[in-house]
Amino acid sequence: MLLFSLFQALAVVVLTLPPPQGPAEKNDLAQLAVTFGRLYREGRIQEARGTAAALVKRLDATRDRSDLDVAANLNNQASLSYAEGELDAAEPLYKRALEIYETVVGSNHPSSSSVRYNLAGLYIQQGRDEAAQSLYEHILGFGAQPEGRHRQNPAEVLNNLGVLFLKQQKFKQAETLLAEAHSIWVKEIGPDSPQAAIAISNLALLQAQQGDFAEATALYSKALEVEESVFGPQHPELATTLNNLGALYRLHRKPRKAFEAHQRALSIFEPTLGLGDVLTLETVWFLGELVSRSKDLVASPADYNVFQMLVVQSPTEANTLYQSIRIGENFAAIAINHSVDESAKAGGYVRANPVNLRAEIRNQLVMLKTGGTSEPFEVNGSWFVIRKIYEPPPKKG
Amino acid sequence: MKKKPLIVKNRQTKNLLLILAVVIPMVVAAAITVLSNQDEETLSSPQNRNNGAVSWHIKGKLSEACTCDVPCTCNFGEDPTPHDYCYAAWSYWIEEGEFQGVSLNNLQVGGVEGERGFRALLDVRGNPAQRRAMEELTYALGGRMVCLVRLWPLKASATRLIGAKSRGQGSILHTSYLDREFLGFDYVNIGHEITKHKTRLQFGERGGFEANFIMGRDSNRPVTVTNNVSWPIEVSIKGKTTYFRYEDKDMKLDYRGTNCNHGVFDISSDNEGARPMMQ
Repeated sequence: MLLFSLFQALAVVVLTLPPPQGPAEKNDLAQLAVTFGRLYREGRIQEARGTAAALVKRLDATRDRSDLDVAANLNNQASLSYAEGELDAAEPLYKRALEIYETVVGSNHPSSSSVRYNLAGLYIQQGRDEAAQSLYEHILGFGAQPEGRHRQNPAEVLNNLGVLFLKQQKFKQAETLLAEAHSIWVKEIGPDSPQAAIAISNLALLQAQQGDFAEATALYSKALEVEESVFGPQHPELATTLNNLGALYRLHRKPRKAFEAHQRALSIFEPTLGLGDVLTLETVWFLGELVSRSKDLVASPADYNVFQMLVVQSPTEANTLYQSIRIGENFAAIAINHSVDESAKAGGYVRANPVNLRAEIRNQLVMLKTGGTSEPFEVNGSWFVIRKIYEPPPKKG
Repeated sequence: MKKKPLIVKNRQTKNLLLILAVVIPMVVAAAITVLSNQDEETLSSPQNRNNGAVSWHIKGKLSEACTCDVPCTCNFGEDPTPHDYCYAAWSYWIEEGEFQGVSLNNLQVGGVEGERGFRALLDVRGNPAQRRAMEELTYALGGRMVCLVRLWPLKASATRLIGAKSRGQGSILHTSYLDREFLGFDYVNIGHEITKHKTRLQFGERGGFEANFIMGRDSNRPVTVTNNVSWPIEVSIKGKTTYFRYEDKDMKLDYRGTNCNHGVFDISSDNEGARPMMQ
């Protein structure tokens, strides 16, 4: 009885105690911060994001809600949400982080600028270029700060603002900013850094936009050289530049060279990102477009089919769209706007080994001539229209 | 004398024990609650009172050794030599100081940096409030351990020229997370000896360093450097290590004949010398 009473009293006491807030809690938080860094460096972004969220939650519960650690973790949670494509989730987190920094350390502190820079990147991804530009210009307004502890590398901001001007075709302003970003990166982290390669790649596009094809290809080649030395020959970052180079060749009516660049990009994207990734699909699209227009180009490896596919839910819709294709409307545009298949992201282009295709699709491909379009056909309740782009030559023997 | 029945005495004892069983834990709990809140109050409230600024002031003696040759080119704002890194171990011997009102008198706040990152080594003698204050002070001195993840710079996408949906970011990379890895806070015995001719620092069983001060032309006074770039000591006595060894589960340092700095610090949240939060 005595023991029971004692236990009961202690239970009441324990349940009414506040959550632990002492050094154990602090060390636990430090450990979480360590875990965050480790997960990030190991590329476990989703887990790192969860850790950042847990840190925010714990800090919110145990510390002043205007604590700078709260702000840092809000920013990190937002950045990792951005990395995972969850843009709407990122914005309020950035805004709360920025509010804390502006209140606690001031608007022109490097941390406030960092969050502002991140928020601007988010706005660009959301297509809100004006809002992004305003934030970048706000950051650069503090560029006159004295050298030393508050100095912050502005190259990223200069580069991104340069890209915005490039999009707006303000070439002169873009060139000044991009060249300055490149110069800072070369000086501070070296000519063979991935950031320097980005600046070169952006300058290449600037030259391409202004019609200097020779200078643009030379710059892209330089960017590729740097990226290959930094990341190795099979890194998707290299493939994004290859696609840029391919686009340039295509623009200048050099389908063979464009094909080679996109094909090499695909040979990197496919094993590293997978067939379903939007970058892989985009590259399949580029190749499909090239193959459909140049009969002498062969999609490699040779035993792959390349075709376009439109998938809709009703026979009426399938028939209407089929008629539109027949009178010359763009298959890719129709696929993007109407197809319910993943391939819509790639203009309906599919690159596949025939043995992996459904029998119904394989049979249609066998019956079609290259360039021919099938009538709508049903597979498991969905309605398909396909156009044959390329089929592998029959195997000898 | 008639003895009281034993049963009555037991009953009285039992009642007393029951009362104590309820009252004592409540008193203890109340005390814990008050103390716990006191810790929290002491550290967080002034932040709000002072427009968010954290207030601290420490003065004492700093000793550090690094892996660079004497006199450590990093101290002059140059790249390290002879290695392409500069790993260091150090301790601030706080002779007098406070962080948000918590006294740090006679405590050591140190650290070590190696290939894998930075570990804070704090004085094991600190009480709970002092430990928390030392951790916060470490943040204030060395930059916060949680750095800011930044978005990767934009690589303009040329593929939109041929009709693909434009992506804001042409690069496959999305974010970057800079800086050294923070390996956490460890509490250790920190031995810090300073004589006229040498300084010695010992982190428990993990190692440390000893360095002889480099004597100048008159052989009575050590060589000094004023206003060095790396450490918040106005006048830095230059020394040379006789050994610089440290080992824990994440890092191992084993050097000798390398650079050492020793000097007096007097820094606060308001004055030059303390490094601000980075990024």
